[in-house]
Amino acid sequence: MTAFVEALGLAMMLAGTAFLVVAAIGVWRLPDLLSRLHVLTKADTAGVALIAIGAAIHVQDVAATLSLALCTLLVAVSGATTGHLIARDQFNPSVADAEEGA
Amino acid sequence: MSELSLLVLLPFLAATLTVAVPGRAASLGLVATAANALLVVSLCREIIARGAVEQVIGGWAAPLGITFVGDGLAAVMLAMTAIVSLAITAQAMSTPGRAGFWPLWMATLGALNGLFLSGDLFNLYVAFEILGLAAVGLTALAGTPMALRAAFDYLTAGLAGSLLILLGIALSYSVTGRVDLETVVVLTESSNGRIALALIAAGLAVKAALFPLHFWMPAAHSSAVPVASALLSALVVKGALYLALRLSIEGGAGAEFLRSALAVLGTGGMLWGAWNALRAERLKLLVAHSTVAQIGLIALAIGVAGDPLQNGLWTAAALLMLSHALAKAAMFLAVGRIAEALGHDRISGLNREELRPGAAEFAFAIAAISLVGLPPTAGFIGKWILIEGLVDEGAVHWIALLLLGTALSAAYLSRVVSRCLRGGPHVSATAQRLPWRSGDVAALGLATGALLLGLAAALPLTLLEVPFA
Amino acid sequence: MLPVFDVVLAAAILVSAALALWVRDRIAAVSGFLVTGLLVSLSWLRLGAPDVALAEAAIGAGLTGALLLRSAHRIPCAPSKALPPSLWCAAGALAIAISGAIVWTVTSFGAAPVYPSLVADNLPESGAQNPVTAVLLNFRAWDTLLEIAVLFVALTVVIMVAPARPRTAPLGPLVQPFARVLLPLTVLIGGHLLWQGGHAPGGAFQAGAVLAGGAIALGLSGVIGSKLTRQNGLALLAIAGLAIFALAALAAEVLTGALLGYPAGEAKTWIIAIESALTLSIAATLFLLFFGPAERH
Repeated sequence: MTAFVEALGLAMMLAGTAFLVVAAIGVWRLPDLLSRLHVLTKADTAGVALIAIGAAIHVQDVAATLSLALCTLLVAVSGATTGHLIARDQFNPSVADAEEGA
Repeated sequence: MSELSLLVLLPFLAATLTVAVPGRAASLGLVATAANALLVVSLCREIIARGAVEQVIGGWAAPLGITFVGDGLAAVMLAMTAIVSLAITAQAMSTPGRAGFWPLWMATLGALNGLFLSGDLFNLYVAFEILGLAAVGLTALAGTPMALRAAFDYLTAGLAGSLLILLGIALSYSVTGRVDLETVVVLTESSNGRIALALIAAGLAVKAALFPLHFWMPAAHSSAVPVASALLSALVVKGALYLALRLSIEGGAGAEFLRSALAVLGTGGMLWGAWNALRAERLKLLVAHSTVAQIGLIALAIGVAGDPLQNGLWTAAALLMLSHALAKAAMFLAVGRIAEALGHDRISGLNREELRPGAAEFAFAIAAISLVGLPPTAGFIGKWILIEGLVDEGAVHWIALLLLGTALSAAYLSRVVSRCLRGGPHVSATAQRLPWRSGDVAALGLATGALLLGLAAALPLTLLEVPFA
Repeated sequence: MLPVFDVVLAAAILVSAALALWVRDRIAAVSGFLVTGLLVSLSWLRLGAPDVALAEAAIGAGLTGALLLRSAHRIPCAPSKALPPSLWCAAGALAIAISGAIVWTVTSFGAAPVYPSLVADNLPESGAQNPVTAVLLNFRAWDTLLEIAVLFVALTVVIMVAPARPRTAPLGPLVQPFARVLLPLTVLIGGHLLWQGGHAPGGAFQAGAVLAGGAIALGLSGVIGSKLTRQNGLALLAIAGLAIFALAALAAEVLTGALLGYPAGEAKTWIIAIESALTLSIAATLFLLFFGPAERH
């Protein structure tokens, strides 16, 4: 049982890492900004979430699991928002002539 | 509460108050500097009566905690700061200041007091950070593009100096395993310890504007507003010189390599600064270059004094620092007044017919006498002690260099003094005699102080003879 | 296995630092700096200094990066002047000499540090179980007080030299909900870091930086920008940290006779009180460093 759970966690983390690697390759290889954003935002969120689930399976601790969930939530929210901001800047540069900080 | 705690904390409290109540900033500053002066007087009396005082912060003894050490040298430096700060506050109160002056000035005062009392290398570094950042702000106070440019260069040079000091402290920690000042003597015993000390000294040389690392300084000191120039030139560079002297004392005989370097660089600075002062066309620039020369002189005095634990020649350096602080602050304040009266500060335009020399020119002349080191000023006593000691050692070449530096300083300062006494058609259209103001009192008072200090030199010398803690 | 990770990390730090230095585009250079900061904070973690890692990630990479990005956007590009080769060579020689001296000093034998055992011995009386907090707020609280003064001076200088703040256009409809989700989370995380500082990595600087990050996001989204930053209350909050710390230091001396010497048995209360004040003050300072001073009326 424990071995199976550990293997499951490890597999989750590996899958998450694979997502991130694919995303990195995508950012490097894809031709334009929007497709890069597309690959980045999705794979980023999914990758971090998978790694967090895998890690949570491994630690088996409520507090740590909650922290990991918080991390996932923050990455998801900020990834979506920054993706939106960058895309908007591409379409409508004058609006985003304000300062960027996000 | 002890004087030491109040000395280091009152200025910071005053700084926060001047931000919170900007309308009352000037009077708050006056109260704080006056209280600071009273505390210093009380501390000096205590040190003379009972010897050096120590205060363990938080009850944690060094090396775990930090200790304040108030010995004779620290007391003389605190007194120097207190005297100059009274004059600067008086001058600043009489001129419409820009927002930001008072908090920066109070933070500078607190940092200087903390610096002179600290017995811990890392704590000294943090004090230098406050001092350096506040000094950059004071340089930028004028708000002109030139002042901002100079402030930025100052910031960059100061950061490089800070990094060198921090690196040196980190290395000395790796060599000796501790960061209180006791570590210095251990550092002098090994070659990697000496590298750490050399890095700290290099950082100090940048901060003290010691030749050849003085490149940032003339622009910064000459483009700031007069009170800020006085403060930077008289007090801020003294922080680094003080620490160099302290390292020489703590290191004892082993710090001879540092002293040799200081002597050589000091000689270079003395001659190079004097040469540039001779060629300067603007009055403020001349005074700023003269600071380079005088810092060279002080470094030379620290360098040739030998082991401070063996002989008392190092007191000459302390006296020279004291007299330079008073005279140079007076000089910058006077130059500010002269420039205000004439509407320019070109040396070629100093001679005039309608406007007779006034209080500011008088203050400049007295300050010049003290900087050159004519009797009865403190500058004279300092050079006298030094030359007397060097004669005993038979170090003729150092005496010759000292005399050359003295002659050069007389030459460049007389460029100004003689012009002020000369009549001529060069009165500019906007020139006007300014009404008597408290600013004249400050410059004159400091200059007179520098003069009288020679007569009362027994007081600082008594303090300096108090054995180290 | 582990040395491989460390070697890759060290190489990546060097590469990203080199990128930040040599890349011509300003935004790219700042991005390089950001990446370097994150990698450096990872390396602190590997070196067993999670407190430093947290501070480096929050302040070194996060807030400094945001400040640099803003400045890179605002300052016009200066014509780049090529350095003369002699200067290049001199700078290179100096850098190599200093690095050589450092490497030699570090690798040669040194004395064992005296602090770990001293800190461990005195930890029970310090009021904190986290040795870093014990050093920062008790054993060497005087250093920390002076560092708060550094922040105070930095803020004063920025307020003094900053030009009139350009109007920041709100970043759009999606950012406001983002900021509204973010802010309560940063309050939660900041409070957690502050409390955790007593026994685990964390403390006032980290908590203040996190809070400031949330507030800056809210400011950029346009929710609080015009309302909050126009008042002087924030500036007062920013300077209150130094004043409270200094007063606490003096109050402790009145009570116990030692500057910053907390009364026996109450050290924990004092530390938490001081740290709470510092957290708010640091957050306000960092926020104002980013957004500039309140407008003068």
